[in-house]
Amino acid sequence: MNRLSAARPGRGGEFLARLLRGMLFLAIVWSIAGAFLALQVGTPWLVDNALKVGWIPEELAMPGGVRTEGAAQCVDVGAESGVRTSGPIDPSILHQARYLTWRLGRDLGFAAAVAGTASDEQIQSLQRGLATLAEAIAVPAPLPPKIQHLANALHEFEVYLEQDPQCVAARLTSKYEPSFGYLYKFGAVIGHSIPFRVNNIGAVFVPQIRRYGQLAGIPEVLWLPMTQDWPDNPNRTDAQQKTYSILTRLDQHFKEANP
Amino acid sequence: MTNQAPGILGIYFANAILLTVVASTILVFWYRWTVARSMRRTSGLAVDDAWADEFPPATTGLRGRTVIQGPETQRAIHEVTPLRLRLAVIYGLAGLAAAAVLTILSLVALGSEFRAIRVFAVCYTFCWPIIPTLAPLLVIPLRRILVAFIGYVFVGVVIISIWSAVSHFLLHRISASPYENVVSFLELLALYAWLPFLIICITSNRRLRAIVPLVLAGLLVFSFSNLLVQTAFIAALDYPIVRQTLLRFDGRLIYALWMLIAALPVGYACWLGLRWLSGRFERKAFSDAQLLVDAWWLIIVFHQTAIVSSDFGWGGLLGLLAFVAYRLVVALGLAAWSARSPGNRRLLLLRVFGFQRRTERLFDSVGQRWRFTGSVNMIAGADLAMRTIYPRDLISFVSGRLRRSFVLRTEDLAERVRQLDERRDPDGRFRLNNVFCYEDRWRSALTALLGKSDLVLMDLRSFSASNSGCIFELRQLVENALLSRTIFVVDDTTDVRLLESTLSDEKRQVAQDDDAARLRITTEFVKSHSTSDLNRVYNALYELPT
Repeated sequence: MNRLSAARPGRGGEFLARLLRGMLFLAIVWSIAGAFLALQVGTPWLVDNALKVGWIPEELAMPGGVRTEGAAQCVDVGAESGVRTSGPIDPSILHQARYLTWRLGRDLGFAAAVAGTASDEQIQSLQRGLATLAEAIAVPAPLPPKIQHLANALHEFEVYLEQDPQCVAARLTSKYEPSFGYLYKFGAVIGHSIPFRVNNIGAVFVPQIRRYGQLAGIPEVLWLPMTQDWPDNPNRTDAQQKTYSILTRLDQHFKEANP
Repeated sequence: MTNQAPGILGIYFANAILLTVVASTILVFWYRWTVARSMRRTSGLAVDDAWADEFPPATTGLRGRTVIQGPETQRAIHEVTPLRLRLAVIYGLAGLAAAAVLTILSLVALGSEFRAIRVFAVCYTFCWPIIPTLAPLLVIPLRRILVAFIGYVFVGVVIISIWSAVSHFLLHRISASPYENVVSFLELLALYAWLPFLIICITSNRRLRAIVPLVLAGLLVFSFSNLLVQTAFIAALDYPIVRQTLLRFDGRLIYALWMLIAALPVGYACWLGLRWLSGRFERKAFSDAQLLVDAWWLIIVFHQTAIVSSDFGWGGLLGLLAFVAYRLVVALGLAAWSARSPGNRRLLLLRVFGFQRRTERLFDSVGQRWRFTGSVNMIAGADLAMRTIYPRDLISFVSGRLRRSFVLRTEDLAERVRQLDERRDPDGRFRLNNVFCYEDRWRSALTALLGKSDLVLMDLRSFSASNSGCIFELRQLVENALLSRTIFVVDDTTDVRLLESTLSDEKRQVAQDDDAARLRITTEFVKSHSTSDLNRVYNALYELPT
C-alpha cells in the first residue's frame, strides 16, 4: 500500500504546486483545444475520403439550400430565352455551343481562382475572353464572384455556382439541353481547380466534379484524375504536366465528341 | 454566406456534445483514481487525542428495540409525496412553456396555419423531454421512464386519432385524416426527439451524470468561442500583410498554433464560468439534479434551434428563448410553491469498501431517494466517487487542489463537520456530505459523523475478519448508542457470527450489564440485484427511531 505523506508543503513547495497547477491548466486547455482541432480537421478529412470513394452521395456535400434559391431566381429564364420552341437545334451548332460552354465555364473558374493574385490587366483580359465566349453562345457574360473571405474562397465559389446569379447555367439549359447547364458548372470547377492541381495542393471540388461530370454526360475516365490525390506525389513540374494533359484531353473531347 | 447557420450551429454543438461524453468519461475515471490514491496516503501528521475530545460519543446508554414496520413508512411516504408532486408539476409546466415557444417558432418556420389540432400535435411533440427529465428529479429508474415514454407516445397517438376522427367524420374536414395526422405526429417526434433522446440516454448514465452538466457548460463555451476564433482567423487572412506573413509557413500549422494560443483565454473564461456555476451551487441556487436537467433542456432547445435555423438563419437563435421560458417558470414555480416538510433526518452511509457496482446500486436505490427526507453523510471512497462528484469537487480536482478537500488536522475536521450541508435545495432535496479522509484520519472523521447523524445504514455484505475498519465502525456504533438507529445490510457473504460477536463484546464492555447488553439489531438481507430487497431497506429506514 502506498503510504505517501500528504502534509502541506512549505513556501518552496507552494511555488512548485502553483507551477504544477499552471501546467495542469495548460495541459487540460490544450488537450481540449487539440480535440476540437482534431474534430475540425478529422471530420472533413473523413467526409472527403468517403466522398472520394463514393460512400457519401455528392449531393449531400453540396450547398443544397442555395440551389433552390438559384432555381427560384432563374425561374423565368426559360420564357425569356424561348429558343427551344423553334424545334431541334442544328447538331453542328450544338456541337460548337457545347465546346464554347465548356470553355466559358473553365475560363470563369480559372478567372475566379486567380482573382486574388493576378494583375488587373490579366483579370480584364480574362473577362474580355469570357464576354466573347458568352456572346458566341448568346448568354450574359458571367461575372466572377466577389470573394468575401479568401480563406473561404472554395466554399464561396461552390455557393456562387449553385446560386447562378446571372442565370447563365439556367439560360444554357433552357437554350440548348439540360446537360449544358451542368457542363458550364463542370467547366467552372475544373477551371477553378487548375491552380490547385498545378501547385500539387490536392483534389478540390471533388463532389462537384463528380456530380456535374456525371450529369453533363462526360466520360468518367476524363474527369476522374481531377477527383483523386495523385499518389506518386509528383513535383511541381510533373503536376503541371499532368494537369495540362487532363485539360487537353477534356478539350479534345469537347472539340471532337458529338453531342 | 447564406444559410450556413444550421450547419455551423449543428457542427459546433455536436462537437461539444461528443467531447462532453469523452471528457466526462476520462474525468470521472481519473477522479476516481485520484480519490482512491489519496485515500491510501497518510496525513504525515501524528494522530493526537484532540480528535476524541473534539467529538465525544453522543451518549453512553444503550437501548435495544423491536422493529415494527408499516405506519412510519406510510407517514414518511405522505411527507415525501408533496415534494415530488411539487417537482413534477413545476418541471412539467416549465417543459410546457419551453414547448410553447418552440411550437410558435416551428409553425412560423414551416409557414403553417395555427389550427388547434396542429398546435396541439406540435406542442405535444415538444413536450416529450418532460418525461425523461423527471427521472433524475424524482429518482425514477430509467426502465420505468422508458415505459412512461412509450405511454406518452401512445396517449399522443390516441388523442390525435380521436381528434382527427371527430374533425373528419363529424365536422367533415376532409384534410384531417386520422391516419395521416398520426403518421405526421410520429414522424415529427422522431425528427425532433431522436438525437436529444439518444444524448439523454448516454449522459443519464449514473457514473457520468454528476459531471456531464459542468463539462457540457464548459465545452459549449469552448466550442462556440472556437467558432469566433476561427472566424477571426478567416477575416484576418483577407489582409494581404497578414496573409503574406502567415502563409510563409505551413497554413495548417499556423491555424493550429492560432487555435492553441486563443484557447488559453477561452479556457480561462470557461474556468471562470465553471467557478461561477460552482459558486451558485454552493449558495444553493440549484441542486445537482436540477443542474443535470437544465443541461438536458439546453441540449434539447439547442438541437431545435439548429433545426429552425434552416428557415430563420441566425434568427433561429430565438429558439433559445425556449430555455429562458423553461428556467423562468422553474424559478418562479419553486419560489411560489415552497417545500414545507419536516426537518432533516440525517443518514450516515457506511460500507465494506471495494465493491463498487453493488455499493452504487445501494446508494442509487436508497441513498439518492433518502435525500427527500434527509441529508446523506459518508466518508468518501473510490466506490462511490463517480456518484458523488459535486461541482466544488470537480473544480478542486481539475485545479489540482483536491488534496485540500481532505481532512488533515483536527481543525480541518471541525470545519468540515461545521460545513455539513443540512438545508434543503430549491427542489426540496437534501445534499450528500462527502468527507474526504486520509488513511490515518478516517476513524476520527467517522466519530465526528456519528455525532452528526440520526440514522445509520451499514452495508456489511462481504464482511469478514479482514475488514478491521468495519469492526472499528461497529464498535463506534455501540459506543455512540446508535445500534437501535442502524440497519445492517447483509447477505450470504456476511460473516454474521463475527458481526454478532463484535457487537455483543462491545456492548458488554460498554454496558457492564448482561440485560442491557442483550443484542437487538436490525438486519436486512439483500441480494445484490434485487430491487425489492433494496426497497425494503429504504422503507425500513423510516421505521427506525430518530
